[in-house]
Amino acid sequence: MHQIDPTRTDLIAEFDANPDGPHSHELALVLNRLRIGPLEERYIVVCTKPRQAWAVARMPIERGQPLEFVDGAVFDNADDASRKVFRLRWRAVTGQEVAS
Amino acid sequence: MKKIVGYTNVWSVAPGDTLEVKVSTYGPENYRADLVRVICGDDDPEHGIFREEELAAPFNGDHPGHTQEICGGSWITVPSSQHLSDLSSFTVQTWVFPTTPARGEQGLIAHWDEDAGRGFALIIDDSGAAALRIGEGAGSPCVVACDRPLAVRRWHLIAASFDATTGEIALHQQFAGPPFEADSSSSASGKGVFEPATGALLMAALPADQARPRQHFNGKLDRPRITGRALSRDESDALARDPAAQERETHLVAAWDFSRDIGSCRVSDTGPNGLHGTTVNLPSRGVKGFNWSGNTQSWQHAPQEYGAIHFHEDDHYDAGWETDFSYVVPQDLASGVYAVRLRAGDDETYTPFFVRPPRGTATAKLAFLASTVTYMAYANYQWHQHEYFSEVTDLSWTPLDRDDVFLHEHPEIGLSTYDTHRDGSGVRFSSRLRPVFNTAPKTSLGGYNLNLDTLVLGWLESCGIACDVITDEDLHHEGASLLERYDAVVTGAHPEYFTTPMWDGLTRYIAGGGRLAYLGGNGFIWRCAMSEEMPGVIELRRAEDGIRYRDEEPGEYYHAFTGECGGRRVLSRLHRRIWWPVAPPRYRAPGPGRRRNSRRGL
Repeated sequence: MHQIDPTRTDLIAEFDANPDGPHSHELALVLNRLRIGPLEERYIVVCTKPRQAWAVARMPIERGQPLEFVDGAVFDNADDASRKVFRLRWRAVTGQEVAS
Repeated sequence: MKKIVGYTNVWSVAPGDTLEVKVSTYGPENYRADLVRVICGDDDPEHGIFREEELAAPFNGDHPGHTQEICGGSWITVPSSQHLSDLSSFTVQTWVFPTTPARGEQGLIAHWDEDAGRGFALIIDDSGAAALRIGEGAGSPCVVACDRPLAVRRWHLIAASFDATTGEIALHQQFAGPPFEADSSSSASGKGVFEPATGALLMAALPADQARPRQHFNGKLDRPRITGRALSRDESDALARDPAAQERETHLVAAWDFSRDIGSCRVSDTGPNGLHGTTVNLPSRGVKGFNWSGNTQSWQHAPQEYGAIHFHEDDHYDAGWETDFSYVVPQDLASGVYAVRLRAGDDETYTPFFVRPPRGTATAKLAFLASTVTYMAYANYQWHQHEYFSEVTDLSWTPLDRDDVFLHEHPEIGLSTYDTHRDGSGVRFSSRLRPVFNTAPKTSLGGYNLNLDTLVLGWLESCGIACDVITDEDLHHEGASLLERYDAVVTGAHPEYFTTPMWDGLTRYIAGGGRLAYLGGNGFIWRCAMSEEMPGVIELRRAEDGIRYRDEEPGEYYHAFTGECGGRRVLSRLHRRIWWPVAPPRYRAPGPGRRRNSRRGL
């Protein structure tokens, strides 16, 4: 499993600049690591109103249980929601907080 | 977030046919319905090509909202019978292959009146062990349970007997897995009182109210049997292994043989009383029984080794909703793609349908073959929510929209053939007799569905090229004669799933000089099956090798509906010569990291 170097804030900046990619090889490794985790309690992007509103939510432990929406994580564009998910997963994997 | 969903009884209609529209609302007291012709369903404002035409219809206007529920999960129901309600002493037994024994109480065989506390129920209890609950209708039911959980995905014989003269209960769960594995066999005994119930007998669930059982069982049952006396353990074991139950046991009440009528919903009782039953919500049949030898792969070659049924708590066939309103398709309504547009509050949904020309006629030189069988295969696709590696393959975070959230929170609505059941086994049936969110305009162009195909239809319309719309189901039923009315037939973007009658009809049309414009990719790959008895659903066994989202269970490659082997039609020589699927599967390739942008609103 790829070990994320929490000091590599340059990769965070690269993601912020272009959430959809294509990304550098180093950032791709980081993203793979952030995306290969278990489904349970995974942070995801939810489009709550087509082309107008996006939220960040957490998958439940069990299928069929309600999603847990993250307080205040509501955006008017998909990229900002994507950046929020990146930060939450980075923190979950590295233990390091990333500034918004 | 979803406030309204709906579906129709059929997808393909001809003038004069009656369309039944079924709607459920979640909150709003009223909803509005309108008939629209779908010209191009791509509503991305950057593309600027969305077109729908509002049409007059008797149902246009406001309707009262109401919530309709879906009862998911499969089971067997056997109608009430005097032979069951006359029971005194008895033995109830079955081979059991549990796939989620730790998932709480699950019904196996129950002739139980929950309100009265009367009857018997053979169950898996909260600890994952076999248990028998009996009661006489007064006081608390008596429960006798084994003290060891059943082994996951291993066969066991579970037998429970009650002797009315002594009140003694004996319960055995006998492990029948490999000898080198931990033995989960266990026995228990006790005393109780018993009065039979009077309602239907259920298998693979417990009765709540009759239409909506609860405590669904995940796993397989084989050779369920009931006798009118308390058998000894040895007698139970011998009866369980003997296919000729009636010859062995003079007190036989019922002996269900699931190896009969595998392609249907009928459940045959081979005992003296004809206590035949019915499967509900399409559990998987033609599956390996407790005695599968491994010497054959097809249930047709050794049906006696395929006497099991695999039940799932999230099987689904027909939502069975009440009809909100009907619509008789006018004689002058031109062939095309139409939908009932439903709006409630700030939510909107479409229930599409396909109007073909009057039966036996063509009204254009060109026919568009709508891939309704493929739409069913992908119906309510939830792979992203259920596979942990989906983000890595798609190079994006899991992207959900309002429809996805609804599906996630309503697992009873059923799955697609790309998904897995709660017990990890692959989904083999996918139906259109339920709300299907991804077969509609304004949905993702990244999926292989109707909306993508409206790009072709919209383009034909903008070019002034007249075409009739016919569907896979029409081709399945009518064969080449349906196509031979046309100079040419054009496909959509992803005609991936074909039944054999569809394939035969299309190839015969081409062999007879018909012209086919195959405008897609990944076409004509999978052999799937449909049932004459149960319309509106496809069966798919993902046999053989190749790109797939799951592996089919070994020994279960043959469809229950038809007996045909599942797998890839692409392996046929004719397919390789004509339609090797090298075209890109999407018109709009998303490119690395862009897939989420192809989903609605993302």
